[in-house]
Amino acid sequence: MFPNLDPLLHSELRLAIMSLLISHEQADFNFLKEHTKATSGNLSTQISKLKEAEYIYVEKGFKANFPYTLCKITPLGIDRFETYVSALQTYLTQHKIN
Amino acid sequence: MDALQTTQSLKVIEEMIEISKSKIIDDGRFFILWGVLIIIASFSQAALLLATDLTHQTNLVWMLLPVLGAPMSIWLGKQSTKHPATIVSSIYLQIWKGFGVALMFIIAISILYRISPTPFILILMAFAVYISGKILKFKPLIFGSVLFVLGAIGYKFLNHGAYQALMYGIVVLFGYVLPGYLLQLKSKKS
Repeated sequence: MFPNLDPLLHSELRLAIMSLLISHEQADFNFLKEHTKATSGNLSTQISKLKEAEYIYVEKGFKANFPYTLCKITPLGIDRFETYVSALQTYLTQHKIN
Repeated sequence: MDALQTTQSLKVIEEMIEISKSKIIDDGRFFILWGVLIIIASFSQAALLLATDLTHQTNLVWMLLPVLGAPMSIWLGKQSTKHPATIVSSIYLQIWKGFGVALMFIIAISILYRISPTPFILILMAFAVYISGKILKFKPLIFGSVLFVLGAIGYKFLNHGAYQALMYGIVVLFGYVLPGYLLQLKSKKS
């Protein structure tokens, strides 16, 4: 039986964002853009979705007169990410047995 | 929904986490800066103790460290490429901040009790250098920490302040500056 995977995380870009944020204390928009290789528009949309679900905190401001977006994973985000990885592992284990 | 295959999901997670793993969290520049300042101060103190009649006044050379080291560290920190902090790099930074606070307490307590802070500083340095070596998985720092412990033990057998200051400088050269230089070489290679 395939475990229910969180649909919010079961998307390549959102999963990449969450994976980067789980291993970094916080990351700014440019760092996420550089490593996910996403377009600014798409990245911004997916960040908003994760923020709405309260998986990440988003802080917007200005740094040296330039707009600045800082993202940080929330405890809920960590919990959902761990559940997602655990579900993947369960699936892989079952897949191997079968 | 752009559904992912299970293996694809794992690949994405693996690739993103690899970015933080491959990051060099220390390029050795602070080891070299503080090490060189300590060596200058300790060798200067040894020279003053041997060449003049000054005794406790020679401790003033240690003021060189906060006066030059602090602004130079801030400057070096600004020069380095900014990466978001990983959990490991954050712990690493906190260890050295804790070291700084503990160092100030050791110096203050030593002044209060009129004892030499050097062996205690050597042990504290051994601890911080050992943890750094373990975090960075860099053996020269672990060997360096052993030198600091040996220095703290050997300190008791040196009966002249000048020799004690010289020994401190030598231990810092081989246990701190040299590993810092090797760390810088490793960082440049990668």
